[in-house]
Amino acid sequence: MLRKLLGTVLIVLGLVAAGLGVASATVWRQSDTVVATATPQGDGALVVTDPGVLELVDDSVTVRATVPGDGKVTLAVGRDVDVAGWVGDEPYTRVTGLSDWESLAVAAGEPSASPSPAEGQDAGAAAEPAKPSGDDPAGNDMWVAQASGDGTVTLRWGDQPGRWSLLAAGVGDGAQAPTVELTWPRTVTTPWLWPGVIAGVVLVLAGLAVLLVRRRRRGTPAVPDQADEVVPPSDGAQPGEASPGRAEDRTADRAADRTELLAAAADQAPAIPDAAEQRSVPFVGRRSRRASDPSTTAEPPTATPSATPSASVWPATTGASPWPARPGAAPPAGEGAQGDGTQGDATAAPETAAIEVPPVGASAAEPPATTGATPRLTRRELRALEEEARRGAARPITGRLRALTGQIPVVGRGQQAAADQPAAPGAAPATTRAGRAAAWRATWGFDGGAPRPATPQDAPQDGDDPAAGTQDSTEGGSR
Amino acid sequence: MTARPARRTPAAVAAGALTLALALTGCAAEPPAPNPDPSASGPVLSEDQDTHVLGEVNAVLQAASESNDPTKLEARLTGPALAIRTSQLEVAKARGNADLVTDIPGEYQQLIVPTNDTWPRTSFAITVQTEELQTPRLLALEQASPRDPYRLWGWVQLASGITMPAFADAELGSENLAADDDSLLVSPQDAVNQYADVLTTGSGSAFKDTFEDDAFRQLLGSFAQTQKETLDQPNVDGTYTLEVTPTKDQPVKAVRTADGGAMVMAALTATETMTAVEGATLTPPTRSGKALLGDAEPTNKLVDGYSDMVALYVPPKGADAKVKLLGYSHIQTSVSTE
Repeated sequence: MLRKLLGTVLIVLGLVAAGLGVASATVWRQSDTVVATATPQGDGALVVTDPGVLELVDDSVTVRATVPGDGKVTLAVGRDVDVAGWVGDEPYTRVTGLSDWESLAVAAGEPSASPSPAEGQDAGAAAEPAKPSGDDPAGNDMWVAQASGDGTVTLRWGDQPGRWSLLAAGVGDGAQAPTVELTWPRTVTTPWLWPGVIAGVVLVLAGLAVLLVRRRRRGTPAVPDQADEVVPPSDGAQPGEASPGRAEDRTADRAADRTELLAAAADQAPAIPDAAEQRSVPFVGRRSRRASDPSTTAEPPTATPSATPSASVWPATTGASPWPARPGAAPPAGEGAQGDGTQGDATAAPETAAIEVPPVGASAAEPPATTGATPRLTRRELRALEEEARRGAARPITGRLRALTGQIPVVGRGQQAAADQPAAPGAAPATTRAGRAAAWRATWGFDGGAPRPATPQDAPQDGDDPAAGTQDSTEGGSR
Repeated sequence: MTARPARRTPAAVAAGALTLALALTGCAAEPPAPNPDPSASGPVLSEDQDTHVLGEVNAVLQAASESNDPTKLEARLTGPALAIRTSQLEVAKARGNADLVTDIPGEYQQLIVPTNDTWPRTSFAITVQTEELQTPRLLALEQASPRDPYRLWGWVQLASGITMPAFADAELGSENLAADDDSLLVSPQDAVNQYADVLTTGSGSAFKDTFEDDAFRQLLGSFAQTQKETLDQPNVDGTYTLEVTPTKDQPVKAVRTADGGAMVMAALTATETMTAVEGATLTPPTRSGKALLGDAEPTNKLVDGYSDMVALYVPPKGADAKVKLLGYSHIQTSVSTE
């Protein structure tokens, strides 16, 4: 229910985001032009723009000046000092910039600070504000661009290097200042289009994924959610199934299933007790999950525990952690009566499970038999084991060995001790190469290596063939 | 079970839409502030503008000459140039031909544009040679105030064989200098005053060593010599005096040259006064004078007024050089028998 809600919300949000993205590039798209208007202030028939105003938005601008009635109006563009000089002491409206995107900021113009010497002759008269002259600036040699017209006039201006001012003048007696409208083209970008659409698509896909996953899960008969959290001691949790008979039934069924998948393991399957069966679990890890559907449909109640350990054991195995050998971390296996007893013994722990391996033959090369202990590990324990493994990995291992194996064989401290103890009488000390190799094999538990370290004469034999063991272990680890 | 998502979805949609809308509106840019180019010294006229101005001036000169109507000149002439041209047109009208009207070509080999932000501004232009292969003219155009057009203020004929100083390119502009600029060997005004003194007093002038010898001094000197010899005969008992002064109310025009010196242009008024014994008649020595005198009866006194223009090169201060005449014009604009 929660997932359905989440999926729906995600899809709707995605559609909305995509819609907004598209809308930002269509209905909400900015206009291609910026049109700003200046309404003259105060007295005077002149409007002057500050330098820089003409090229505020774009280098090319279209100026439109309108005066009430049919009066003549002139537009001129000149250097800022020239325009200021022309205006002189006349009152004017100064355009200082854009107040918003649609209107120009205006201010009452201050009289030119430095009237030219030629005009300075009536310095006394300059004190009182000059009256609008109504003079026509048209035709002055200083202008770079100009236009005149009756009522309305338009002038196009493309920016050039320099400081340019626009002079708009109402011409004639009693002329009024024109209203000036500047129109710039604008490069309109649609920065929200693709982000919106992409985010929308992602959200919709995420929503669909949530909905679909939910549907699929509904199809599979309930993998308990706890599987994610705890690797349950399967039989311990369900004491009813702990009875040997039922366990054997299950074993037989599961083994039968597996025969279809594993020809190699088919022969042994009925013969091996629980430990062997459990050992093969990691081997089929992925397949077993895939195959869980048929098997579970056949026997719904028991399929659940089997799927669970396989799913969780596998990563631990691939992690090549030495946990199987850790006595404390391997609680008694509920289903394996034999294992129950032997695994309690710390020193024998690696061997007990592995002792049964040699008859298995082909499958002996498979991942450690001791994985039979895995189902009883909680995730926390696994984490602790991995921690241990990491610490173990920190132990000095010769570079050569590392190069040979291609991965770091983790030989935990306790592990090493366990491996060494049986070997103690005849085996080379752990500090020697042979000793380390023996410990390593013990760790990985292949080739019957685990029990053999106990027999001194076997240790060198194993040392002869490290490459084979390496290969196998690598294969198992990479599986 | 399905009702719950249905209830929550609109709220979620609203929240999402609100967030996006806020994001969109929040990104609406502030209007930019004006960011003009920094102030920089540059020519007040572009080459195109200056060429346009010169074309206008030339058109006015042409139109006035063709119609012999000096009133048309006022649109684009001012100061000494206006006075001289007006006189020339009157002479042309009196003489019935325009031979004595100075030919000013309409093509230019160099433009000298000012950079000053204040007024008056003076730009200069050097024309090509005339059709009669006379030396190029140097024109000075003045914009007296911002609302005035550029008007032709004066011209000189460059002295033959002269080497003109170098000026900054028209795209950079050349600074107009004040009449009392002190970065020069002699200030522009002083240079003109002293040159007028040299013209008046000849080799006796205290300033003669400031100036290189030049064609204009030689011209006036030889003319005065001729007149004096003519008037100094026993039966004539005449006198000849020449006085040259800077024209009043016509400030000198100066512009910086590339070497830090200046080219100075100034208007001078030269007055020749000739007298003779009672009963003698003195006729103007120039064709212009004759035309200007017209039907008036010659007497034993003659006062010729000349409107002269000179262009001087003034070296920068400390330079081991003399002030040099670049060009002049010497045109009689008045005659009087009193």
